[in-house]
Amino acid sequence: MHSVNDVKNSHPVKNRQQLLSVLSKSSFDDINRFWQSLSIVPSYSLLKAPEVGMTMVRAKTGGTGQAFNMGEMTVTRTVIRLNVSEGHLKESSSEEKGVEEKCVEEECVEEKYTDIIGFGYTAGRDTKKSELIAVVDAYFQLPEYTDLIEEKILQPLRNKQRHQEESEAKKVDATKVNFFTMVRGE
Amino acid sequence: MYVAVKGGEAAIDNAHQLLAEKRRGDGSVKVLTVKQIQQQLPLVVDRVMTEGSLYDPQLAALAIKQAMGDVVEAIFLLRAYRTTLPRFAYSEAINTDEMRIERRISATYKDIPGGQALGPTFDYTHRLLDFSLLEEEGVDDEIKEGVEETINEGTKGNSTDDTIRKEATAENLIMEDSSQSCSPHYPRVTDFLRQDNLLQSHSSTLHSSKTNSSENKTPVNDTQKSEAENTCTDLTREPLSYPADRTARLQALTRADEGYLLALGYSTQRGYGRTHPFAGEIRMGYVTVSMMVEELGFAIDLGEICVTECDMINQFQGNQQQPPQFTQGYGISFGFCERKTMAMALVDRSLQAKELGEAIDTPAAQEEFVLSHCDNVESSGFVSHLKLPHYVDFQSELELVRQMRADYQPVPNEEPAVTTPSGVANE
Repeated sequence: MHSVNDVKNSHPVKNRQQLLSVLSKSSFDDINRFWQSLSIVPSYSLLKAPEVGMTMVRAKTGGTGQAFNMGEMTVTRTVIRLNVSEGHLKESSSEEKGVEEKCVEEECVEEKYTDIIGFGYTAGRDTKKSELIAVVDAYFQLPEYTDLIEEKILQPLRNKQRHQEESEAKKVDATKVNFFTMVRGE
Repeated sequence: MYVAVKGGEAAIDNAHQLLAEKRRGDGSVKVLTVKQIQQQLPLVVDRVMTEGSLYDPQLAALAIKQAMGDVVEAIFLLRAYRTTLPRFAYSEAINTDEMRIERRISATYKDIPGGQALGPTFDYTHRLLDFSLLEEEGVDDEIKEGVEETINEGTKGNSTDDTIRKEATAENLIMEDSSQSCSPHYPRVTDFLRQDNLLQSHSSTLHSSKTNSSENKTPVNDTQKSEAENTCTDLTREPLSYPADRTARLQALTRADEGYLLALGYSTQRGYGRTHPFAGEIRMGYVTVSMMVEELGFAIDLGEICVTECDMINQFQGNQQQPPQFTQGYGISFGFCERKTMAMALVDRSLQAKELGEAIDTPAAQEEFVLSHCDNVESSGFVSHLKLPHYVDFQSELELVRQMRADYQPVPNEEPAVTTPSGVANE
């Protein structure tokens, strides 16, 4: 969470950070379910095909001191670029809300690319999830889709996470103890 | 020295065949799935991840299956696998203060802010075999529901009950507002002592290590991080050198063999050390890992990992520079490896003897001894190599012993000869 506050840039970055945070902590099935409900047919090319690698996790000595390397974790990353032109987008969004046709190459070549890059980083080795996160991240950057994704994907995923966390916290809470100190020899 | 041998291909193939059969066991018994191991043997999965130094529960479970439950072999498999993967970057240091707590206890304060939550623990169980587990079979949701019911009974009148029990359908999830979850805060126990200056400051162990770490600094292309963060040693990039700074020691200890650390930690308690420990705090739960992505220009969250952390509080008499105060030993692991983190914290503290100006006269305080023998992949490799053909080597020894026996003249002496242990064999 601290990383979110570290960034000097204002809103857009924060929102993307939050988006990527929620997505990375959700399962592929959940993200996909809500993504499918938007009926977007994404058009993009892979700048970096889904790749499994590692990140060295750092911890702090004593929990709060100097950083040290505690061990690695598997991470999958994908980088995509949208093959969607600005003009094309506006047309389709005015025609029918949320539905977009797959961009045929010949049509797009003439128009200006929006040059939107999407990043999909996630713990683990789920390449499908990584790619989907990159796609959602890219569409999220298009003003036409930002609110839609916020409402239809981010919000429900966030709620689901909250549900899970709360029910887990409840179970943990039930194990809270109050120890009483006994007087010796009593 | 061992020698190369030829032949035996067919025998080796057959041996591996036999191994596969052995792994499968009785064919009439259902195959054990990796998912089952991951779900139902989580503690061994956690140990393999911690000592294999790679957080990936599925791969750890796979390694355990392939190794037929041989933990050290599974750790070896995971370590071998990790060498095939590219390293993307270093993460931001995880913030265990903001852990989503599953267990949190303190042996130093009865009443701590946030409270003590036992979580899923073996503590206070009777250690009697539960024969009902013999009969357990099939899929089962009842256990989970049962726990939830008792919880709900215990906390009746709480208005959030209904929202939690409501089925999480897609519609429900969209409709709901997502106000920030108000997870309880668990302040760190050692912070209370640190506020009163009763606990060593982090810099006290840093200073003495600075001279060592400056020469073997790892260049990390992340310029935005503070210099102090970048000076931490990475044992996967450079070999351990002595004297080792605390960051190197902690990295080595995190992946060290649990049994080895347990024995060393125990030795400090029994008298081969004088560190007088208290378990200040043990916490287990989930933390978010985030990583700076250069192309993006900001850090993003990669997901959550489960970690266990132990803050051990130890007495310290003080020295010329420092007044009497408490000192700290620290242990951490992937997953839930509580015993490991406690043992690690004991050993971490005894290895600070050098920096605190204490006498280094116990095994657990000798860093070269402790750190060069703590890795079970290394040590099992060297021990296991004794299985390899040493035929030539042994022949020469045999010749030598025969020769010496031929030349041997018993000396008529009343007193028994004092036997000196022969030196370490040079191979």
